[in-house]
Amino acid sequence: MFGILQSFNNQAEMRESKDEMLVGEIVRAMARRNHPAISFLANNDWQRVRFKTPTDPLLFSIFVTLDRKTGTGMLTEALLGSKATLRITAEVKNRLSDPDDLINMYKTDLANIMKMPMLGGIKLNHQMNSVFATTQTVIEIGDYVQKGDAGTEKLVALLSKIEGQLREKLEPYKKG
Amino acid sequence: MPLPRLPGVDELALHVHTSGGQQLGPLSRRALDDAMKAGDVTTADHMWMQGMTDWIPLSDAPELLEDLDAPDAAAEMAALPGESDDDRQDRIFGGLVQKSWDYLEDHEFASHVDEVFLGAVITSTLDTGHSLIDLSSNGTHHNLRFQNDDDQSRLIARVTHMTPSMAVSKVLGQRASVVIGYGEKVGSISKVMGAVRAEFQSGFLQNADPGTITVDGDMATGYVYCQVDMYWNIGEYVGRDYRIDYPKLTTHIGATRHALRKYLRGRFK
Repeated sequence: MFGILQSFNNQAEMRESKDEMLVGEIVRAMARRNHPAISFLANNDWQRVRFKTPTDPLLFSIFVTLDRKTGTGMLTEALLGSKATLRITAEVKNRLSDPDDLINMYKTDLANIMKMPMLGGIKLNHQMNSVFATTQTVIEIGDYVQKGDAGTEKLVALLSKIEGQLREKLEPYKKG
Repeated sequence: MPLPRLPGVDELALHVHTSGGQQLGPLSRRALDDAMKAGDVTTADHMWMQGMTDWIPLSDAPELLEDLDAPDAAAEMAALPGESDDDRQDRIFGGLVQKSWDYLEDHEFASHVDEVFLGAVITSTLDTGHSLIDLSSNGTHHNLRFQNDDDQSRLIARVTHMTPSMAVSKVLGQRASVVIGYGEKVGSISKVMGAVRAEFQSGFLQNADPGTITVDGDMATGYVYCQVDMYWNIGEYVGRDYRIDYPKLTTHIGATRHALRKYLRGRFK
């Protein structure tokens, strides 16, 4: 009956829940920007949430992937803090696609063969109807969780800034 | 704000929010006309359709109720003033593509509205001084656990979407099985054991009826939980335009938490 408890990892310490706490804060920060969550993927190594951008004239959706790097153990947390890689992908969707998009898609794929989305860099990925721009950054989780409104505002500012950079890259790909 | 396009007379495209707090739709223009004639909807009520960034009063969109008897195809095929034949055909083709996307988006909304609701539960609960400490989802059952930052009490929620297909949700509305639980550290191992024994009894309940309160204990953390099964209409909280009624959601979660806390303290403290 009470299977819910068994479905959790049952962490004994809050330290072990910092990923989830940050995911919660990201969901709240995106809600403040009128970006509701539309899908959750969670496992032990990483967590991904997709957000809809219903009032945005350019972007169709945004993916935020959180990958914990340090701080899962008490010692590493004390020495290194709790760092995580935040990968953010913005998607533009076009209502019509044609063979030119297929050619552009392969061109982008060829250009991407040797390219990793390095920290601060932006990688483009062209599908038929969708074009994705991805970047990633390393953050200190403690800067954003259990900080009340100040933490939320800081996260909103970070996500807005990254979204702006991705938006700039994607703008030329939006068809009228 | 102008309408993004004039929907077909029988096309289910309009969402109406009445001054009485009722959410209707999707409705066709003909159904809207019927609802107005019946007095269920007035021109002061607000409407929204795909492609609009905000709700507008129905009085700002009188064209919705015009030419209801004109055949749709004729209205669509007629050239607009000053429109060339080439532009007219492009407009018709563009309309067909746009309708296809609207149709697809209606399906997608029906399938992911439970996750929109889940996000709303997270935001609403964080706004009441909690942190999210557990999140798991297998695509059908979504489980959340929160901890209150002040008193360390815990709130758990399981959301199971019952109407993920568009056809079913149109008939029944967006329904979900929602289980809310509340937990506290009771400070005594015997009380936790008592809760575990009660959980064993609860195990005989394969499918709890709504309003059934069950209890459980977590030996590892010393928390005792009680939970209640309910069915909620997600459509009451999540609009088709993805707007969330946070005051209502926060009130409903708060009242449930309050009742469970009273029960738990009465039984174990």
